[in-house]
Amino acid sequence: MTSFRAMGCTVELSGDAPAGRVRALFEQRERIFSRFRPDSELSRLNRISAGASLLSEELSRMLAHALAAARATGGLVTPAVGAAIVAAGYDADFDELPDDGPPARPTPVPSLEALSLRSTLLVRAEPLELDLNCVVKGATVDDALALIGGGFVAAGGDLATSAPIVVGLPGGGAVTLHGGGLATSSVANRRWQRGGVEQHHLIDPRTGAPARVPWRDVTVAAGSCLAADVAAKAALLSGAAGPAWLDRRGLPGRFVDRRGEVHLNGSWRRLVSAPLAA
Amino acid sequence: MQPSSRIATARRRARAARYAIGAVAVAGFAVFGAAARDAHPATHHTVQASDDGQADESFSFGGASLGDSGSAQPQVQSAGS
Repeated sequence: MTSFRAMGCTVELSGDAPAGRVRALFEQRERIFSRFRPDSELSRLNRISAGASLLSEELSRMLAHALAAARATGGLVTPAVGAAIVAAGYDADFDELPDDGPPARPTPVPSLEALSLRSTLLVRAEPLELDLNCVVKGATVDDALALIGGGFVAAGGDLATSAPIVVGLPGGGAVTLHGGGLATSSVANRRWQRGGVEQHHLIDPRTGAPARVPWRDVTVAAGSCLAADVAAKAALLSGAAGPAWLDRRGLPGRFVDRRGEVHLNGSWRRLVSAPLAA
Repeated sequence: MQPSSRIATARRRARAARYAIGAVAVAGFAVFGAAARDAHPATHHTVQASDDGQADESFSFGGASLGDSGSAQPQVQSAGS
């Protein structure tokens, strides 16, 4: 296995994969989609937060993924949280964030009805800052797997594979992913405080603030890493309704609550019969 | 007459070039305006919220291919992001 750092996490690949090409892909995506690089295309777009803009093919494709994810999740996973995540204090690379700061204020998340994308033409009818973290990593993992032609690619534990691989799970235990993607969404890893109140990076679009949910980690398997990542975020943001939300879509989900107890939805139990680990 | 004729020709060419540039600019403006109007959110809705479990045409969750790991050791860790 080979590994390198990108997108704030460790990227791991099958041993014989051409790591240089995958690293270049991740670095290219960071240059376009980072909120923390003032010269990224996304940062330039967010500095003009309304009106008509012509996007690169890469940005329009990723935004199309994000809009599709928003439709598929009833707006739970949305790229319109750019201003809200900054208001929560996540305005720099996580490693550079101060532990605490002025109190955060919930910031309304605009409706995506104020946004339209036709090919590479984006029109925002009202100020709307974009954050594409909801799709960039998952889509890049899938694209990297396609680039290397098989094996597996994992970024921060979100992975896509074309062959069976044993994956360790939060809190202990493991499963075999035979193909497709698996991702874990968590409020445990990227946390900070503002005004002494804990913040994290998953914004609930209904409140405009970091989600207050019973889950610490939600792991989902799906047809691709992008799909698994979007579903895991939506299930986490759904709170107590998360397991049923996944079941309605036939997706297996594993939930670790704030006390470390593991809960499986029906789809996971049907596929994996191993005893629970906690 | 000869110099005067060359100047007249040059003026005609300059006038034709100005018309051509103007026409291209007007056409480009019209095309961009039409595209922007067509793309404006007020002319249609691109996102509709729902939670009925219906698959969205443009986003597929696909099928999961998951199973027991037996006693095998993990090759990668899904740590969460």
